[in-house]
Amino acid sequence: MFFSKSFFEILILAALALMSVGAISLIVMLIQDMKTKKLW
Amino acid sequence: MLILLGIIWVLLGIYWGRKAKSMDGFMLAGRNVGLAFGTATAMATWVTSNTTMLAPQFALQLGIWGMVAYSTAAFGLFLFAPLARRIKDLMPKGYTSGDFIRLRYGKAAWLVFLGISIFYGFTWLISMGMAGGILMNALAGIPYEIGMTAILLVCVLYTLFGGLYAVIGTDFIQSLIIMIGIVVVGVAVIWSIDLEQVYTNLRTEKPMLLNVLLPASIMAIFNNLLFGIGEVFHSNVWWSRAFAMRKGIGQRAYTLAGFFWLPVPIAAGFIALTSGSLGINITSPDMVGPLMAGNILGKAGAVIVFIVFFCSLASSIDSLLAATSDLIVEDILKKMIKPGASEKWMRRASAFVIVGLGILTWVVCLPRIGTLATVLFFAGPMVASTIYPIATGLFWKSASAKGALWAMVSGTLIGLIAYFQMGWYTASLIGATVSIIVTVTFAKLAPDNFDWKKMDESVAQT
Repeated sequence: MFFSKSFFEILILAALALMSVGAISLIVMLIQDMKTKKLW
Repeated sequence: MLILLGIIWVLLGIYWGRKAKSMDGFMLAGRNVGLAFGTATAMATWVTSNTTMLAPQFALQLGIWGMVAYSTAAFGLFLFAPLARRIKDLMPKGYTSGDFIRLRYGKAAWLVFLGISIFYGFTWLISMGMAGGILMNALAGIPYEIGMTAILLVCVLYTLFGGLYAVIGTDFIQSLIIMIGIVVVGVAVIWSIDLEQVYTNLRTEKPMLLNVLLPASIMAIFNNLLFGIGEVFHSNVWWSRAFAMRKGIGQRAYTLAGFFWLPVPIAAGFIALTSGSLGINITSPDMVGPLMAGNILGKAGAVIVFIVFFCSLASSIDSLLAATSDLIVEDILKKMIKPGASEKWMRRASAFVIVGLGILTWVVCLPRIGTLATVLFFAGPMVASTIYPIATGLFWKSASAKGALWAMVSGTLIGLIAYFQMGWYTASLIGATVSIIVTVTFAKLAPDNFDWKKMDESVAQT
């Protein structure tokens, strides 16, 4: 029994998409923390 | 590039280090770290050379399950999230994970825990010092000894100047570089070859890598999951961040960091799996990542990967230097040797310990010993045996000192026997299983009735 091709493709694309979301989220959080002066 | 990156991190360390005027500042970045820095530091620290080098190795040896197995280490961050909140509530003025074990379980368990924790921290440091040398050699042709020395020197310098402020500040920049860099390389790989072609090639050439029922891989999932949880639960790297974050931030920061970390091993592993389709010969399994990126993207790719790998190494080496030195200074020097030590004395001691750790790591890394996996997974059963004493110790009044002590000792010993007799992929699993049985048995048959107020030393002292 093998992993299907579509599973393989979805896994890779989802991983790259989630990492992109992560990078954007960090920048948004940084701006918010800077605005509210809660960086540290 | 290496010199430029080194200068940037050291200058940033000096800049942020100006904020570290007290020991709370130097060790815990003022205990007021916000969500952005908190999330980034947890994520970047967990992206180590082992993530970017071992995940591709896992993918090549264990296939899709190997990539997924490595990504289960994200559960260490997810499950530590509620613990981070509890830690901040119970110990608002705590410094180290050692403080917790000492106050919760007493001296015997504390000593065993310190042995495990310092051994693990040092093992992690060695594996990353070695990775630094291997990477510099693979990516830029820099001799192993010089590359390894350079990365250790840079990390020691900026941690020395800036303490946790420098570590967390640089972690933010490093986490962004890591995520963007891996996405760029991943997209470039998809752009240059067809995913269908990769799949077909694997199915023809190495079908076992796509096998849903590959036994060693399935075992590796549970082993890696428990190893990851053990690493995070016990290590002062994560506890110091829980203490450093502002109240109400820890749980959210660790949860978000888990989500951002989860796809990293999958993306890194995928890059390795394309090696067959591209006809690239892998000579050493732990060099597969840098080799692939250099082949696919040429010089530009090599530069991107060099920076990503440098950041993944630096973000963890700095954290380990800071957290392990905290553990040695706070738990050994202050609590055991010089109880009345002044802040000035402790700051100087921290500096000596950071430099000493750097030198010791350098000495051990000089001869390149074993692969990264064998070095790191040896510590697996040790850290896995601490999961339940820590988790139950934070939430169950009935968790007892004897139970914690015997859970750590028996889990470590039986896990190490499994490591040698059965294989590395069973050691953490068996260590953790023994630990849970012992912890729960003692909690049920000879329960403690712990008073949570004892955890806050600032109140206990007044």
